Amino acid sequence: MIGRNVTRADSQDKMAGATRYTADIAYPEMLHGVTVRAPMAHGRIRAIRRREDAGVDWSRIVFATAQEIPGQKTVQMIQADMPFLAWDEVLYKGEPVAVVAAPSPAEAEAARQAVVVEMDPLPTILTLEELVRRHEQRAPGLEELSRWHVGHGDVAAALAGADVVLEDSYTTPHQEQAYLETNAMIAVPEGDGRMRVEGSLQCPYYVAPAVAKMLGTDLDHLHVRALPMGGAFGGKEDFPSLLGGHAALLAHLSGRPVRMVLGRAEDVAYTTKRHPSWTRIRAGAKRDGTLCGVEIDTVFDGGAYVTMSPVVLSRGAIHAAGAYLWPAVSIDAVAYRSHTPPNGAFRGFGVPQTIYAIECHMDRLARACGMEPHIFRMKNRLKPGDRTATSQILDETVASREVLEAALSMSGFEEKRRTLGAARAGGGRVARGIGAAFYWHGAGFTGGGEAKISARVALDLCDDGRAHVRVSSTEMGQGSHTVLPQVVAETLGLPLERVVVDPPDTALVPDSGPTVASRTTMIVGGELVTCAREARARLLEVTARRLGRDPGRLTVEAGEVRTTEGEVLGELGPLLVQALREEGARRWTFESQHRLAPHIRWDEATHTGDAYATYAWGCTVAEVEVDLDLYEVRVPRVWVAADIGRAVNPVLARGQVEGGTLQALGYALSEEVGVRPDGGLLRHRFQTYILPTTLDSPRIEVRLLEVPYGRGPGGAKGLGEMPMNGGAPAVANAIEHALGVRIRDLPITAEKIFHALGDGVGGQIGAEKRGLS
Amino acid sequence: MSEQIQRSWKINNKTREVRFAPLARLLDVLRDQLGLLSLKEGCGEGECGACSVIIDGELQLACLVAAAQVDDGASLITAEGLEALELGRRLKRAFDRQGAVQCGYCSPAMLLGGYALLSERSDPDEEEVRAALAGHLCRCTGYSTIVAAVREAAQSGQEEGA
Repeated sequence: MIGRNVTRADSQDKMAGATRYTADIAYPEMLHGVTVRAPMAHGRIRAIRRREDAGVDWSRIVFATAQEIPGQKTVQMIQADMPFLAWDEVLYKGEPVAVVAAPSPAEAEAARQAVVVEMDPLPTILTLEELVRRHEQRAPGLEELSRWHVGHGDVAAALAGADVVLEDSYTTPHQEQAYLETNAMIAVPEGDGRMRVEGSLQCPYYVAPAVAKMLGTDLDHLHVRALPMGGAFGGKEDFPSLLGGHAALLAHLSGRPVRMVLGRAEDVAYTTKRHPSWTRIRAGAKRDGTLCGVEIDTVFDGGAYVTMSPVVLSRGAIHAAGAYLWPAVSIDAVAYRSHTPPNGAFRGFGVPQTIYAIECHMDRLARACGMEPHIFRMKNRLKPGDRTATSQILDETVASREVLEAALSMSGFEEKRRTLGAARAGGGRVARGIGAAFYWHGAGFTGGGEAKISARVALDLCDDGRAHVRVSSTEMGQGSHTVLPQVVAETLGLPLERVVVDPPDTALVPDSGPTVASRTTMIVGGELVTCAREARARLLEVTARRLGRDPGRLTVEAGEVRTTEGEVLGELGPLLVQALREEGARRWTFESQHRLAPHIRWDEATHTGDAYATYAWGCTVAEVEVDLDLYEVRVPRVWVAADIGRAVNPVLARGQVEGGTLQALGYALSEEVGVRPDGGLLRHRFQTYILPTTLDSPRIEVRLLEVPYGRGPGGAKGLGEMPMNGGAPAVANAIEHALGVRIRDLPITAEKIFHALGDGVGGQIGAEKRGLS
Repeated sequence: MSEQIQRSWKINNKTREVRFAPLARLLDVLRDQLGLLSLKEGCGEGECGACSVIIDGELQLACLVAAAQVDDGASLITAEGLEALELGRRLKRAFDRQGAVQCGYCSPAMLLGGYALLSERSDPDEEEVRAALAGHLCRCTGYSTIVAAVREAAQSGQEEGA
């Protein structure tokens, strides 16, 4: 089953429109909830008033402010600093201050409009530019949300000994996850003081304790179920705790089910996004291209509350020096508060920001050494036995050479570096170029994170003749509920259709940790292998005993129990049903709990040691065409080589690589939210926030490489996030190849290219354009 | 109370009677009154395509159409009806095989986009498929598998027809 392209377990229902997402579900007596939001970015609340003259019958409306919250008033996350509903200081425009519910969406909307929030303004910091200005000038007014230092060696001495030292800075903007299904949650009172919260959420065991604390209850009385999700990409990691809390509060007050579904503009404007970042790099090399040292200073805009910033920043910092061997490295990373919505998780989790900076810089450092960028990368790539920025000594699962060779050869990189490019543009109207980015991505939680989570999984063999996977890992489109059964079927020997995934509901499944960090197949799948092995052994043992056979001589093949001589004793499913019946049992349950490999050492305070159990490796090559009249960039082709240890389902794995790559191209070229002077977001609709369409997307050629990781199922490493890392720097490097100018700030728009060429920093083409104008 | 509008439509080959307010969106009428939940509201302003429906052979966005604009006797196809149609089954098979479904939120509409295209042109090339589906956003797949699936469905039809 591992390595086979079985079709998705959920695709037939999805295609028929039979899958019920949160907004498709209604209950009798259900109310519709909406959020009342703060009108300014920073200030103190003076009063929250319900207008009596607005034609709203308040007797039909459930209304709640922070006063009505029975328990903890802030959302339990890394820190509990973000209020469910602000009651005093407001830290971003649109921050929830009250919630209302009504029998119909229209009545709820009318009631929302009739709530007046009076505030006294306070000073604001709204943009990355302002954060960086104060950071560089050491000006007052900055509030640190998180800070990390990573590194080793004497960087000053290393740079003093370098022949070439290059310094520059790079920025990346907000990026919206833009899942097609907006955030949506339902709370359902179940009687006897019990409540169920369900919806579009990645992490049932994040939402459950947060909402239980808010209601002042416990997990015996509050359970959380993940429904099928229309995409998430990290955007439903922490936000559902807030929205779920709102729905639960309204359901608690009314005793009725309450559904809250965000509209698109509300979802883009007020939910989490990728952290904007600024990264300055000072890097030195010998003339022969050997790296000497690197000093990196990076600032992330955390938004209004701490939420996920410490862990996003940590991962970004750990990956910031790229997948290269540096004799000396110093990385300082800080996240500051701004008065914009809290930034959070988005596929890549801090890494696309810092990898963008280092991969742009490496292209330029190569040229400063007089080397082609791919030769430079191949020379300095991390290898087994090398020491990383956190002083981790890499093991044999490194696939740096494999991915570089594959991506360079399948794209014809060397040939195109010669035949395309600014120097070859001639007098044509289109400039062409090719660029590469090389990267890695730590699989699973950082450092001791997996030890803290200690993921638990369960596998039931049931009297319906099927194996039931019980995990809190959710299905958001990535295919976990197809891949995990494949892993179980492979180990257990059951046919795939006899392995099912039970709903991820905290009342039914153990805490396998959140569905994040590219950890589901590798960590949760790995523990399921342990369960399935035990289940298989138990089944064989019982069958052997019952039939008077030697258990050591029984085996499972093609869904049948056979003797080692090949005699067929029966099908696994019916044998299971029989065995349970004879024991009078409904099910056998097998449980497993994740433990870090014993050799892993990690010091959180100094960020030194084994940051990740293993890494996935990737190389992306992009070819670009730049229209020299309109400065429009087209990306006709992209090649991606990705080492993911083992592809459990190659079609689904390729889908992850292709989808992540296109999100990265949007990041590179078109996606930009922008902040208005009043703190509102400028582009919060699909008319203005530009996502790639079929006409903007390239042909993406993917090669999956398999350098196995021993503890992953079949050798699998994490996969989902990594493809997001390479697209933007590969495009930026290709544009520089095409035009001879470097655009350092994402997204690379026509305006930026126009200014770069027009300002005279351009190469040959810039000179030609100036001559033309 | 403004007067209700009444229509009789043939939806997925079944006659359905419906009454709605004069300014009701077609999307709300189809979802809330007729229970056709394959139509999704992804943006509510005609950008994402997730609420697509085929009306008298033409692909339309149900969030931008007033229900009153759809004539009495009109014939509608939604994703719920694709299984009953040979081309619908072919498209679904190809989508499944190519891995063109991930989160599934765009899939019903994407299938209708493919259906509308292949009803007009039996063997479109890649550029024609991409142009036809340009009004459908998908954030999961990168589109390659979707484009490949529509072309595979076209080709399997050619083979069956030959």
